[in-house]
Amino acid sequence: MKEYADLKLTVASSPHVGSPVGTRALMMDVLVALTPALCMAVFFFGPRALALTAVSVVGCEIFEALYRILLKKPVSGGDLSAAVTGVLLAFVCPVTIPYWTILIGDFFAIVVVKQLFGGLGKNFLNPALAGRAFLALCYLPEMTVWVRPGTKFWLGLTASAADAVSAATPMADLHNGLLPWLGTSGVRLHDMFYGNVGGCMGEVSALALLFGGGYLILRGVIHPRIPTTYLGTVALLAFLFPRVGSAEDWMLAQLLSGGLMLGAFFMATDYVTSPCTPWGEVLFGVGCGLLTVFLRSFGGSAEGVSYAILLMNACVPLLEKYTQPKRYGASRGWQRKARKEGEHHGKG
Amino acid sequence: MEKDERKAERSRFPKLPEFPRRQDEPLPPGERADIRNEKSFLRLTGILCLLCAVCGLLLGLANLLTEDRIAENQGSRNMGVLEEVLPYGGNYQEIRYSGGDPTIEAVYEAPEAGWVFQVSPAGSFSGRLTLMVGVDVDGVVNGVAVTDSGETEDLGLRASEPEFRNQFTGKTAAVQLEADGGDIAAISGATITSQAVCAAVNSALAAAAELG
Amino acid sequence: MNVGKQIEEGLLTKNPVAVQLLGLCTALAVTTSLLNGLGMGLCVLVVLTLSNGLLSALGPYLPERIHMVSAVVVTASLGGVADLIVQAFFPDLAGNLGLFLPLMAVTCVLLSGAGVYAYENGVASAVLEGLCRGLGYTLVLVLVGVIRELLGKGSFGEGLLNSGRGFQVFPAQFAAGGLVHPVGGFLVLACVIAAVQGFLARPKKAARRKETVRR
Repeated sequence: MKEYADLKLTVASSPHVGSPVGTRALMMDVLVALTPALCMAVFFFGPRALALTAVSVVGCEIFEALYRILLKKPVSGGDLSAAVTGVLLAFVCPVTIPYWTILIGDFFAIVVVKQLFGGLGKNFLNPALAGRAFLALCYLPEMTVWVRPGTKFWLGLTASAADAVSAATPMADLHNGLLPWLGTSGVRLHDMFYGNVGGCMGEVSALALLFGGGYLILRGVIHPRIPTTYLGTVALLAFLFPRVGSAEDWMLAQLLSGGLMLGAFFMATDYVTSPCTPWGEVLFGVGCGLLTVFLRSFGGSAEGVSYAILLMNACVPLLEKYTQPKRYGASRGWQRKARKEGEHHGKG
Repeated sequence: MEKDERKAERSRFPKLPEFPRRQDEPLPPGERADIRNEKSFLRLTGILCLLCAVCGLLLGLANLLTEDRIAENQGSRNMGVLEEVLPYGGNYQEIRYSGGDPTIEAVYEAPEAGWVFQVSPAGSFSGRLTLMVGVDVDGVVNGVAVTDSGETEDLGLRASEPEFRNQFTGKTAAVQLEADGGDIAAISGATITSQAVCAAVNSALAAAAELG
Repeated sequence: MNVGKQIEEGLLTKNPVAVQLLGLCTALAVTTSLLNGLGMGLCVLVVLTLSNGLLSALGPYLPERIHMVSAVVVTASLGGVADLIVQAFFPDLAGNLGLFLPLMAVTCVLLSGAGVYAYENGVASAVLEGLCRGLGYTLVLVLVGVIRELLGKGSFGEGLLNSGRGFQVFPAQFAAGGLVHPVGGFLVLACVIAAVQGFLARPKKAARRKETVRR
């Protein structure tokens, strides 16, 4: 009888095959994929971009750990998901934003949006984007300072307005119905591709973001369904309804400007806040694309990517419900019946 | 255990009033208790009328006692803004504006001194920006004040800061932002609101030219 | 008449805003500062107490069929009177509350459950009920108002304390101005409701744990 005590038997329900890929490894891949964009941000805006990103990462990790310690929940700091949120939030802020402002954004993203709803896997909005939306709501003046790229910022506590040479962004030109290279920003197409434009730190360089996105797809971290449908919808709509210039020019300008690349590859593909069914992903991408184009064309502010993704985040449960794949061996009618019954039991 | 919990959960909410029962007081035998029963119907109507009359009286009395004070408060609030944009001292008279500019909501005339225009310019960020623009008889802008900035909009509020507003004082001809070739420095980050304020001032100047 | 239980229910376990989610419209819209929250709360408190007392006293003389109508008439009239009084004597508060001041009558009808409690109980108990529920409503409004004012403007008690100037706790430039906007109302009220619900759920959890241990 004695040997039973030495056997460490775990009783668990299926699945019994564990995956070697954990949250930490996935998040590490995302961080690696974000590195080219960070390099471009530092190259164009100076070391302050790096410092802001670092502050944001540390802030996110500390807020997460503090919340979990204070509420006596298991501390989950090792999974790096807060670090990714920190990097992404820094990437969607202008380089002149004061350090304290980004910390407030971190607090909102991690504590209010993520942890209050139950932590990793339970938040229904993308924390980084919700943090950005909150900052845009509360600190609009700080969030809308666009500097000319090449204006190097050192580590100054607050980048004073005198340093900040305000520059028109390609986004603002597009919003006013001008092609960037003919508008007030005077940015040419290849500048937009490399990232030599005014804008949020991590959003400017389409090239670096494409590199990162390609890496994630090759590594199998994200599936190309959401990015391709998202970018494809925006491209198609821009191609069909150009406001000025030729269709191709307008389409390329729309694709390469603002936060579209960052949003399509890194924000919309967030596991937690995107659908887990293939058709759900396709609909999600198309919805993001439609909303982005609508918000950019008819909205009050120039950019619409963050709100488009946030709105689609809120639709995810609905998309998943109506795109459930057919269960093996189940007929369509049976499945509909099962779904209805689920509704009655409040599982819908 | 679970049942008790659900019961406790339910008891946290107030009991909803049940639909009035058909009749509560005993009726003389042979009489039917419904609304067609004339005696009970009249009684209900009578009681309700009495109650409403008393309540109405109460409201009327309260109105009688507070009417003057409320009118006074209203007047002094408007007066404050009018005095700010066009100091006058006397009574401003609201006059009818018959011109074609739909953004002008009201015109107050200060005889011999000028006019104050209440303008809600088209194209403001929130759509609800409302300004008072004082123009004197010579067609010179005397002052601008924001009365409603549209509460969902932070930048509109900054239009009420003196550094921005005072730029308009003394202007006689159409104003424009620096970016559009004029000499008004926009509020940083709020070009749309700044443009709307310029438009409002231009509307007021044009209307003053019509009136004067 | 269980006074302690009534107070506890009105303020916490059956709090009209945080637990029963009644009167949310006003709770969201007017709570931009301590002054506004407190002003609205006190108006509702007074009207609710008076109308509960009046309805309880009138109850025996009113046929049951018109109970609900009478409750609405009496509460709405008292609300109207309060509206006029605030407009006459506190013009600044009336300006801040705007449209929601006349809506107070609706809030009071909701909070009193159209007089159900008042009709079924004695005058003293009905007055106490109105007082407790009014206090519970005021408490939440003040809490939300203070949080929104503090975080949204960096000030405390503007228009009320320190001869109307209030206290600037930290410079306004650091304040999250968005919290004073309607969006902030939703955010802060949701957090307050979540906190209250979490607090109320705590004793249950402890009891359950004890039970499992015993098993």
